[in-house]
Amino acid sequence: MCNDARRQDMDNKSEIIRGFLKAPLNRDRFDEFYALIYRHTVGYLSYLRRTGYTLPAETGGRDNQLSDLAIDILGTLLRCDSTRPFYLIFDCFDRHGITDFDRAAPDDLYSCLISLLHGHIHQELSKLLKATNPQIDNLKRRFKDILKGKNYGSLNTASDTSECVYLLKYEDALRENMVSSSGDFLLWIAEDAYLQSNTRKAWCNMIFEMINEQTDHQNFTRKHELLGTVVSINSRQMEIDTIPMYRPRSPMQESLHREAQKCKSVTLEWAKNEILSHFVEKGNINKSDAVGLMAALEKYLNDFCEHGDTDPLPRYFRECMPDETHRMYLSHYKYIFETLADKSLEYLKVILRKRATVLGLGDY
Amino acid sequence: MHPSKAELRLFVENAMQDAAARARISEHIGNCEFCSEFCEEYTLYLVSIEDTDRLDLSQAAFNAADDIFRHALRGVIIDMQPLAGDIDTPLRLAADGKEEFRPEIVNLATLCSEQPEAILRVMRDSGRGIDYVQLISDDPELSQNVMIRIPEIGWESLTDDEGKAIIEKQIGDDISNLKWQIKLPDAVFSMKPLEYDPDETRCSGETELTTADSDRIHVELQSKTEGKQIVIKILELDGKKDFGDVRVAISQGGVTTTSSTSGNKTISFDLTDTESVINIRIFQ
Repeated sequence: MCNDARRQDMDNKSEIIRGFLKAPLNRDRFDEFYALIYRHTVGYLSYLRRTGYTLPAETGGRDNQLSDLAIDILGTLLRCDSTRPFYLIFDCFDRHGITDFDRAAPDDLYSCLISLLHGHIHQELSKLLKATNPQIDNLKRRFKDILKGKNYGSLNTASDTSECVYLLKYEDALRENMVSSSGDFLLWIAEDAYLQSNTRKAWCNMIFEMINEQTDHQNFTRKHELLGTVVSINSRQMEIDTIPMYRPRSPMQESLHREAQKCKSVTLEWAKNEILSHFVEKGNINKSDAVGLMAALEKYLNDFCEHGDTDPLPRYFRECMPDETHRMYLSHYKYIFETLADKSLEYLKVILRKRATVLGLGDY
Repeated sequence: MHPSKAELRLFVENAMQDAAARARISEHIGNCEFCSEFCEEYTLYLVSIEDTDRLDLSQAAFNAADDIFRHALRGVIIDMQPLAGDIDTPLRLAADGKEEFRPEIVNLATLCSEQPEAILRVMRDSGRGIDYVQLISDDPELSQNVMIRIPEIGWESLTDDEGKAIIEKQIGDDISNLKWQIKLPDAVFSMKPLEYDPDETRCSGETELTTADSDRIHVELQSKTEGKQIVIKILELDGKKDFGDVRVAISQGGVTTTSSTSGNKTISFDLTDTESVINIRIFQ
């Protein structure tokens, strides 16, 4: 499908969703909406089957199997209670702050629905099959194979019965008496290593090299915890989530985007003078820290203005202050950066909403 | 550093306009296990979704959609709004002459609802000396045997198989400003009548009817020399045994009879027809 056709298709789908949300008990709108989510569900199930999911036992042909399954899944998605028809759908839009359906952006409507639909499909499949995600199983197996390789060794420490793994070249210098490399620390290291490697093999190696550099920590880690961490990072990256497909901005969206950029600059100035300066004055951070934190804040607000979505906060911090350790982040910067980011985002939303209303650009 | 997922999507969709960025990502994908796998997965996803974009709904899917929609309408109260630009008096034509044309049936008011779509006309039949409402909808389940009510004056009535209900109460002149409501049934059952056995003057049969929404009623059909009767006891509504006061409507062969009940009391209705299906509707 070419991009113009894809865009047109997305517009049509968004309007069907909008029509349903505005009048769910209008039969024509309900039927259109049902057809839309039925087709998407069959398509998504077909995708899952191609990626290795075992779907429930076939009752008819392969196509009937997908159709029957889609019908069952949609039956639970479109539940009603005594006062609220289709409450799972409306609750989801509400959680995403989409309540004015007339003014909601088409991309937001589509993205929110597809996100709900994918999540619900996985939830229902796991109930029906009690099966694990084959993609995750596959990732686990691949990492286990790497850890079985000649570069890695394993041990059981005196204080811990679970199997720990380490880089064999450091076998003679294992730091058993240091702080354990686990939890947030391990996640921090693994995410950092992920960004700097192109293969799983290189990634695993880098995690252990980076752990080894943190001399206040053990240079080995529990195997099951490492597997859990790398699999969660890798599967999150592989997830086909719901950020809308490419769409050139409409003139109104372009105007809104320009306003967002202006508001971002105003917010940065405000954050620097009203929040960060207080932390500097009190001696919580020095001027050099403030420069790094402002750079991280700018990247964070930029992602919000460009994509309407942001990564976890520590990622921005790490990108702009790479020399700081995770321990320092937790003990020294976490509160300051979270305060800075949260208050700035709140401020940005308020002034952007005001500007958008004044200029008649709709809801942001 | 890996490209963002948004960039990878643009790349897969061939929608990346910046040639330099495209070349950079292409080169990265050639060397990166993670990003090349993501692109493969995303391609597969797009193909799978687009393959089904024009898929016809199976009959089972149509039926499922119908069931879901009917369930959503269970017990719904629809507020009717006056139709904008409603013409309360009949349009006079030149050919009508000077004499004032007085049709026997006039439309006193028209009210409507967008969801579900329905029109309610309040009519006066001078010939029969009655006022009545006519509920119109594409879906017969929205117009036949549903309750029409005006809570503020305590009036309610059930429509017949043609969507009509007689207004037995004085409702005044300000008809459009009254709060007209349609109340759809909370539970609907249907059953075949007790078969007539000419050799038996008295016979009976009983059964329990249930719906997918955990509604349960006990029904006894009795055939006596003086006629046929249906005796109903409501056991559960929406899975609840304590359901308060309800109105029960029995329709058969175009005739509807209603009665109120509560708790575990039984109610009985006379049946006039030996052939037609019996429909039982319960309004909470």
